[in-house]
Amino acid sequence: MKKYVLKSRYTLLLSVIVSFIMVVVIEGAVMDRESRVYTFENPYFDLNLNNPEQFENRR
Amino acid sequence: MNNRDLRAFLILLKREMWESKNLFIAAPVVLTILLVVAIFWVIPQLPEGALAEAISQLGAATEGVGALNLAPFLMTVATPYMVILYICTLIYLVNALYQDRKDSSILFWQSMPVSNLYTVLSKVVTVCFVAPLFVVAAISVLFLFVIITATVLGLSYDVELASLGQLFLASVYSLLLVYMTAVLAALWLFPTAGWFLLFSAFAKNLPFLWAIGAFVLLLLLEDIIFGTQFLGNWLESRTSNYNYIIFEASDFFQRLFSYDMLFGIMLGAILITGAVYMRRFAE
Repeated sequence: MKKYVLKSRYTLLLSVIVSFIMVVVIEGAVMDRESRVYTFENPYFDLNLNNPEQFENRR
Repeated sequence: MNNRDLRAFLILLKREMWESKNLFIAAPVVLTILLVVAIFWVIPQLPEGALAEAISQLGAATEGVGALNLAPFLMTVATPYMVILYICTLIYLVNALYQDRKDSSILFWQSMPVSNLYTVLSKVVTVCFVAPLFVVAAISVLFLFVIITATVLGLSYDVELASLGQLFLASVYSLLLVYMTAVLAALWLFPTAGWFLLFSAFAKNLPFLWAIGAFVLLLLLEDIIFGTQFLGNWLESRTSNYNYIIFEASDFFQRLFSYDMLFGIMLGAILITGAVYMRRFAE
């Protein structure tokens, strides 16, 4: 495994990035991490970027 | 780590400060000079009444306030220094493992009896612990001018500001808080440092663009392919202002050993390990 990871700089970079992403994803799934950025509350209308279909009927 | 390794590591740290003295020493010194000049240029231009009013309000605000409670207010002086430190740290990290490959001096450094691990760790320690020391030293000089100026103005307008001893104690405590804030922020941004070091070691040119572009690409690919935002959610969780500033020394260890901090340090360690191994592909 080490031989393949250290074969070239590209395989090493890919391995490091994949390890990084896997750790972040597993931690996010286990800790049930949700984003707070995508929902905005205001008295005029509801904007939720997780649900862009709400704007499809607007002209 | 035996004595020989420790001496070698200290020499590596000295090397980092010699090579980056413009970023970590000259920048805060120049900022201090500019702020001191600004203080001595602005104050004489203020109207007499406005200056007297400001001094009297400052006296009222600091009346009966202890040194420990005064220190967080003095920390606001450190804001421009923190901005300069972050910008200089970013420039340093992007070039840390790229510049010596670009000018081929890596061949010289790798012929030295120092491992790639110690070389990369010396850059991390420089950013996290050594560079903030010079910022704190520059701020201490500015505090000296501010304290002397405030005391002289207080005496000339017959306003009782906090005593000289209290101001001195408050400034020493705020310097400690500024250093702890800088160290804590550096450790909180450990994954970012590791990411930039990885691409500094990898990229043949434009390492900053590689680092930013690769992260943006990963964000997009995760959303497009898997429909999830784990990476974006994790990034968003690191943007809380609370984790960048401390106002009490007792908060330091609580934040240092928090789950999110330790998880970030682990992620940074993965990326820095990649940067260490990437050094063997010097071209």
